[in-house]
Amino acid sequence: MAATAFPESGYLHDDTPGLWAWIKSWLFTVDHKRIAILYLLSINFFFLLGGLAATFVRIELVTPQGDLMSSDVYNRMFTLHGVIMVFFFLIPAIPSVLGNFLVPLMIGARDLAFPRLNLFSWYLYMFGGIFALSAAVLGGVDTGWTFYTPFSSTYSNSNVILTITGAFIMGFSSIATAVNFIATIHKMRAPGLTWFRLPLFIWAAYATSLVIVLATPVVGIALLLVAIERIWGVGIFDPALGGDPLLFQHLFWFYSHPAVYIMILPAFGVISELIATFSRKRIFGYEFIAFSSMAIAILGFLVWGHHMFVSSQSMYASLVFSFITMLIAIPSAIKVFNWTATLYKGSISYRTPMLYALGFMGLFVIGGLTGIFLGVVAIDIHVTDTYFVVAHFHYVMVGGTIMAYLGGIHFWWPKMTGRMYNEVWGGISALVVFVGFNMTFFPQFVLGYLGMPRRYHVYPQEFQVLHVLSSSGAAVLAVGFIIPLIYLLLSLVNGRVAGDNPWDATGLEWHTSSPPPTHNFERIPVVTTEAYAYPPEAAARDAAEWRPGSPL
Amino acid sequence: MATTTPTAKPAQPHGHDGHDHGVHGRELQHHFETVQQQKETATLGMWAFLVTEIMLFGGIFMAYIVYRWAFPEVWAAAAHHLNTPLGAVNTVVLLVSSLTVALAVNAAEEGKRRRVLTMLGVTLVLGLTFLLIKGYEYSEKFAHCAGYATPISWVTGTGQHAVDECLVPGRAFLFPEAHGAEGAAAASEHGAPQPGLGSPYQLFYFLYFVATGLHAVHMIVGLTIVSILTFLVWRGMITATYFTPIEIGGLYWHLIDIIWVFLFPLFYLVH
Amino acid sequence: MARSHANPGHGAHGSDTGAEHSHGHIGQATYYKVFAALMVLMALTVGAWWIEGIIALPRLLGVAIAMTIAIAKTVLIVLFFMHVKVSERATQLYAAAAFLGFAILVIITMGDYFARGWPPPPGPLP
Repeated sequence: MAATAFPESGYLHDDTPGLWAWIKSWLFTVDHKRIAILYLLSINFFFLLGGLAATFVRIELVTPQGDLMSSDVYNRMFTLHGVIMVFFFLIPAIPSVLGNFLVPLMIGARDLAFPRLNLFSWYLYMFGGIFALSAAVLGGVDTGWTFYTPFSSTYSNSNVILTITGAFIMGFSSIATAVNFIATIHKMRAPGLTWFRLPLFIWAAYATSLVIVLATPVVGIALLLVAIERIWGVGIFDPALGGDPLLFQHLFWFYSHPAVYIMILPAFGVISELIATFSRKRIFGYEFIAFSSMAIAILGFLVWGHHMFVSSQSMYASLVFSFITMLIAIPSAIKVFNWTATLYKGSISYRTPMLYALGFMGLFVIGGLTGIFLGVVAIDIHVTDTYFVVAHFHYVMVGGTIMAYLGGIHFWWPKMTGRMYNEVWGGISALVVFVGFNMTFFPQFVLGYLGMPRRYHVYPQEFQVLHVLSSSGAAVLAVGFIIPLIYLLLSLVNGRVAGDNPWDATGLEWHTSSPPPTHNFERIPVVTTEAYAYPPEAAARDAAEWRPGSPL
Repeated sequence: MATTTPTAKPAQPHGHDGHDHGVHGRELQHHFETVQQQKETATLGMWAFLVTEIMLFGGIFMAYIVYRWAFPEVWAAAAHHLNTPLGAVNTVVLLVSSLTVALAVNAAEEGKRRRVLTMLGVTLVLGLTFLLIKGYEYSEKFAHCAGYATPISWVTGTGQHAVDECLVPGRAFLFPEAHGAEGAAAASEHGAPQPGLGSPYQLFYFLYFVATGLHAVHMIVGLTIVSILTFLVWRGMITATYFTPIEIGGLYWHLIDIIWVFLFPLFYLVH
Repeated sequence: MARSHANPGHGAHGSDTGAEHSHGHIGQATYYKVFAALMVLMALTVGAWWIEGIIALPRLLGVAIAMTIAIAKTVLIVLFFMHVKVSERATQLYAAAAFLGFAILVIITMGDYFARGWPPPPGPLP
């Protein structure tokens, strides 16, 4: 943790002469760290685009009348928001940015198993993104991100096929990343790094990859069948032929429920890293957290029907899905309890990543509990397709995944760039995000319970106060997301030099320079200790020795 | 914190000082330690990818299972009109090609370059045969839709008659069942489906064309891979110590065969 | 799963000659035997179909026979042609996981269809 000088060379530098050579060195790189940066830039672009769509949605909802946009335009706006946020931001964000950067570093490898496949996955992401953008430019799609048949397959007049193509291609990008992680984690760990010495982020990345590989193709084929039905004019979801629209929903949700675990499992991994570092303690119940990630991955395949309680799915199936949905809360709760136990008697420091991690714990608990409410069939029938559901999934996706993503970006920013960001502004924006988030989405629980349907842009006058509250919160939240862009970019120019290990954290990634050299390590480390090997008295000693200016 | 011991082997980011070039050549990628590790990693990675292929076709098989369970008589009657002898020949063709691929990998492992080339070449021929037979089957269906008895008479333009059977789903679909039950002989409507119209036999044929079509797309990819492998072997880039591309290319080919092993009885052997 | 799967580090270079290390090997004779078995299974499945065309068997039995034979062919191809029998444990697990994932999809979805009363009986209108 000595403040060393900025390394003379790292993966960000090269000796390429001229602009064109420099561009080629980035566009044809096979270095996992550079690919992570490419993903960082493109994913943030799509996040801003999805956020723009959300802005228009929230502005429209300030008034009960449909005065800003027609219902058709509104349908396209929330669909754009959903498609971009789900497929082009939440699914790839933590795995493709933080995962790509950290997995080889954390296991002591020089790169992922298949570096060229890694680059190819980024090009697939961009290629899919181009289709989605084209669809948006050409007027968007109005089916909702869920593409339910027979509307999407027969009746919709919007750019369904273009959007589906974008999502389909993105699925392959996701699969390529997952295949890479699986092979890398199995086969390329440093000497001495057994499975139970791995950082929990690696366990999370592994469980996520398993889910991606099993689930993504099913939505691929479901969407492909919808596209074929649109092109050919005949399809298997058409009731006139004896087809069943519900079959599409089964195939769609078979992926889209595990998809939410693709979004949250890596977030869990990040939180484990942040909690350990910023309480200066070993993670309590390491094996339980590791196994719970695998349990969530597996159980996540058995609950998809809880999205279909009102779809004419049989009551028998609904009850089975409901029961297993209850069960899946248990591994998530195990994690939250273990993190809490880690915090207990830890030396807690309130740096920006920790603010995001603590925010995550509160917001994820609310989101997760409301998921349990939704898992009860009787309650779901009342609140399904209302803002209650919208609030629930935004709590887990934004209050969960995005908080973890931002916390992870801040935590590993010094490793990725060699610079520290401005801690004051970091803290401010974390608080702004937290306040703005709750202001936006907590009223939506009330709205939904009172009966405000989702995907509607006109509503009764009595709901306006809550909607105005929510839209104002959205404005605050937007500010909270914009501020980090500014100070993170500024840190590249005038941030304090970070040194190898500014947080004094455990983990192999902190044993190389910041930013790391292209080949990651001068010597491949040999691992002899457990993960998070803080000595037992580290927390107490750190608290006693803390002075202003200490690392944490 | 994880400690680095002083005896950690210094890794060479570039160059190969300190080990024996006779063991491996340029094919060892620098982020791997040994050729064996590289091969096992590639095999595991290919299997992870094959999992996705199995789940992709799994979705189609799921749709098949639902509709066959729901409409068993429709299925039996519809399957009757597929060319089972040709389907059986195609199945044998693919099973033989799986053998030749396995023998090609085996030959590569033993360093027998000429045998590898022969086996890969035979595989290519068998794969093309499969596609040709499949193409002929499809053209039979299209010929019937155009009013010709066989594709050959379609090409030569002789003997056109009134369309009595059109098994390609779409506007012109016509299933030659004389029972007259619930619109069995009616054409489908595009864009404005009306209850009662629309032939459920189209469900079978839609799934048939999509499943076998998707399979054929994978065959084309497989043939491309086999061609590339042939090229690699011909250029001497495959040795007894490095035959990983053959191994993992072979895995892909076998999967295509397995999918057909299920498609054949499910579409052609229905009663 | 605490078995270390780390890279063979110091001094492991030079010990690999490309043969499957400690995993066994499938010889040519085995490939031919497996192929013969596949041909026998092929004959059986076509024969069963032909017999079903003559004798009326319950549909479920016909499907069961055909699927059993198809699964047997698949198991042979996976274990022998695809070398899964001599592959490392992780590869075997992924091969199994694929079919398990498919099984979950089918079993639970068909459970819904069985319980749902679908397809609905036709209504009074044409």
